[in-house]
Amino acid sequence: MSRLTSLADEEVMHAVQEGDARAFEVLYDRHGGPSFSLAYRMAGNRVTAEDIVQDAFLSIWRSRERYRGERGSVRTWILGIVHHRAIDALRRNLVHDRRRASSEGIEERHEARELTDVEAARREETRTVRAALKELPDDQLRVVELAYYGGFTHTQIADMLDAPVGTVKGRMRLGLAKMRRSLGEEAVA
Amino acid sequence: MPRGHEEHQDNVGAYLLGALPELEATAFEKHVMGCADCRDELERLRVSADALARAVPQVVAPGSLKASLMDAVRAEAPVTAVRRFPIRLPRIDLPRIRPAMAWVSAAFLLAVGVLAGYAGSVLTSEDDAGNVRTVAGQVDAARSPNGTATLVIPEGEGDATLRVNGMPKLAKGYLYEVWYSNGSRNTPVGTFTVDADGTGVAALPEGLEGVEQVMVTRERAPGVKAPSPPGPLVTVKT
Repeated sequence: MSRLTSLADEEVMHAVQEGDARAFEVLYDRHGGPSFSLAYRMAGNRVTAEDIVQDAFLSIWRSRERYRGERGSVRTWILGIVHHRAIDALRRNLVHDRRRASSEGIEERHEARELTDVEAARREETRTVRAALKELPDDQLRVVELAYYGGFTHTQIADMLDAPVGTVKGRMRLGLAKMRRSLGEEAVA
Repeated sequence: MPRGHEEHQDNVGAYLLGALPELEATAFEKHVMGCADCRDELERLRVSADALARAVPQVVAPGSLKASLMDAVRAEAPVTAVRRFPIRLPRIDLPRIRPAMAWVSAAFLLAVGVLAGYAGSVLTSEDDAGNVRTVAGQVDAARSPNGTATLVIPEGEGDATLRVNGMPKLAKGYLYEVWYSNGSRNTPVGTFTVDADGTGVAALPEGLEGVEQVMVTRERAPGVKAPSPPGPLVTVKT
């Protein structure tokens, strides 16, 4: 295990692709927390968030051969799968009593452990993305949050905001474009 | 510019945010395959969408989640996975060699050992049901006086396994590497270690078709491209 923990994500993923359960455990140790945090943000409750993460990671394990390193980092790939699974859960109405698109009431907790360089870099990254979000005009921020964290479709959002679908789509695109400029060329991959 | 480009271009943001219903998402993906402009825009804005996952407050996942996940994964993990890292597989019970064959084997082993400086033989046997073929390997007696090696090859589906006994204990940082050889080319397959008795079992993936010999060398690290001197400690002709 110690050898595995010293490897980069992509190398660990190669071992996972060969069916190494210990490598998969290392992968979960690294990305399970951010995955659970994303699922919790979207579902609004721990039980559903656990189901989403369990489902997503089992899917990752079972389709491990599909990972292609050239398409992005392991972390982005994993979080993308978690996001899709969370949307599936939300749209199947598995989450009945959830907060959507709001972070109010979520208790932010960090593990009481020494801050490693990697964790410090991630927190800095989080601050950067939040700052980029804060720069968005309210109408763009609203549709981006409702779509990404709330799991709503563009037509549902249009109904909720009483706005034309085209306007909603335009705000989504403009919001992401503005974020892209804020994040700059050094944006995280 | 493909037909309907403007309509699809409006969907880039919604697609990246997961806001397109399944049918629309599929149509968009089909359009993007043939539209360089949309593809460029998609990749440019993907960075923003991916970053959203990292903006959420971090909460601690319950330990029970990892426990149940890993239970499921371990239950599904293939026993015959390629081993890139030192892994000691659980002992397996090899099929019994018929007593008469065992005598022949012992005599042959002795003869080969004396004549060639190797312990072991190229003797082949089958279990009573004919389901597996067992091949005894040659072990360099100078480096492993008590060593034996046996290759078990299933006749149907399933992967072969190589079992070694009485092998030298590895110094810290060393491991045993398994190689496939077709005569002109040696391909590293994976690594394994042995226990205090010098016993180890390596699962051999991907079948032995085209493989003339299975070899074992002692290496300092996995990933070497050719067997290190002084060469194979174990050789088994398939």
